[in-house]
Amino acid sequence: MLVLSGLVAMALGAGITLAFTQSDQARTTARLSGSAPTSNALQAAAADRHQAAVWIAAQVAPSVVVACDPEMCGELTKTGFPAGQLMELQPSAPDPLGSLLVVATPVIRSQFGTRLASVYAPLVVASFGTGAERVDVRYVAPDGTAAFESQLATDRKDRISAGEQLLTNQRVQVSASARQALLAGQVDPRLLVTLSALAHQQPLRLIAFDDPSPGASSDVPLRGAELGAAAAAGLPAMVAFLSAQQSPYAPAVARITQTANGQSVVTVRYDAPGPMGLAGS
Amino acid sequence: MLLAASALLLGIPAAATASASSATTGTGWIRLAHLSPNTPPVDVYLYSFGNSNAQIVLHHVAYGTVSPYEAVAAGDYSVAMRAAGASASSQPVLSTSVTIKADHAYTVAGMGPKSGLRLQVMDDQLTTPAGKGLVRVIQASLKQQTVKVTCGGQTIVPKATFASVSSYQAIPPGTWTMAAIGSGTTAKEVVPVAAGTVHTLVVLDGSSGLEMISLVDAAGAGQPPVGGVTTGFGGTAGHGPGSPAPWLALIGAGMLVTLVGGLRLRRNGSRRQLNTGI
Repeated sequence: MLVLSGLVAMALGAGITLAFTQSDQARTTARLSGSAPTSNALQAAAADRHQAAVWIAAQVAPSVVVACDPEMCGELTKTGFPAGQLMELQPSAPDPLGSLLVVATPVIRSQFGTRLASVYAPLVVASFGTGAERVDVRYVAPDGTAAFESQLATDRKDRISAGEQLLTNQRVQVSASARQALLAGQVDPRLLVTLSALAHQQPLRLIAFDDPSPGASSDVPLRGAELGAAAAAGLPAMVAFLSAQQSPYAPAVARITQTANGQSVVTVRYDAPGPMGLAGS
Repeated sequence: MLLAASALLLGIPAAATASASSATTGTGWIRLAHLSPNTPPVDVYLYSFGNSNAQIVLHHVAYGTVSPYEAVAAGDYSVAMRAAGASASSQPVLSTSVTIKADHAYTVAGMGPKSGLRLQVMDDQLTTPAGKGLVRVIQASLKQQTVKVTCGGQTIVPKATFASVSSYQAIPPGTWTMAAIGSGTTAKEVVPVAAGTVHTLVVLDGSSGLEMISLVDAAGAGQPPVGGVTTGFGGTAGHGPGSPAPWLALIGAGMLVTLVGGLRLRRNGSRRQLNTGI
């Protein structure tokens, strides 16, 4: 009798275990089939991650600490960004603090929810792709959003003031678009400081300001410029001056290039992200 | 010229007049200092964002040198340095930027060791609590990493570490013996502190132990700075960029010092010599 009871219990237990296992499998299958991205979406997500990684490797200073999910960190390593500067965010990570930039993939957005933008990293410095699969590169605000936004406002005011002063410099000729950018406080403070000093070396023309950061917030200053000289001989001197600078005023790029109409100019560009509060220190 | 220079040395030029006119034109003051003990002399350049003619150049600024205050138009400036005596083709290297507000005074000092040289912008205070003077300490001694600074035997900065700047301390008016006390070495300076005056004590490495110099940031509440008095180069309030006044004063001061055999300047020798040009 006892033996029979035992066999019945084992059979019952096995049956229950099997039932639960099958149930789990069924749920897993249902979840995968119900919300799994299509292969096109997966390819788009992978492409967005790759584009973001390539941009970061090319545009972000190698000294910057970048937070990312494991898959994104792997992509960044592949593109040559220093592995030692990557802060891998495990699913249990409470926040991205400790980094200067966080790569907001769908995984990271899901992990931190709305707090990612509203608390930890309010500013988008570049964005790749669209919709739910897009990848944003965000600036982390260690002191919170309120302090960050206050600093942003102060910085813009300082940049406007500095731009207005630069416009009064008689050794600086400015195109209409460059003037507009200066008056709107859209120019990176590193450029403003450097250009003001450069103008004391030789007269210069500000042809255009630009920023190779797709999808960046309008609060992100433009960190690139095309400069002209009064004479072609002035261009190498400009490059020499720019190349002699040290951090934080050392540009990532300073070289003579040709515009579409064959004009020789100096192209200068600083690393991302620009520093906070450098103008008006 | 000598009269002007001596007046500047005493810190009693027509400062009030200068203040009134400069305040209406949006003028601030800036002085530059080299306080990095193991950094060779440098040339310092101050570039105005807006005025291509406004450029201050201080040549051969050596450790321990503090320039007089320069009156400059309010606005943004970039500061660059170049090794003194560097070839003409070498480029000045940008170090910092500074926003000069009207009626504010600033000290831009090269601080820290050569390996970590930085230009620090200090907002110099010009007013004091009623009936008090203010004193702060810049600790620029590398040999003595930490010093204690006393005023009349009372500690005002217990632990001034290398390359640090203390906050201003309010002290009663009087003639005070200030002392910077390191390990086995003490530097003393007698500083007359009047109500409304603001002072900066700079602790330096001397040839044998500590040295201390006293700078006047403000000669009286509401007055413009007439700093650098005890450095021997006098104040410079009341003239804009391009004015020859400070340099004439400098020459005059040098002649005056030669005449009276200024012991302090002789002791400090070439370290305090400042070859400047605009």
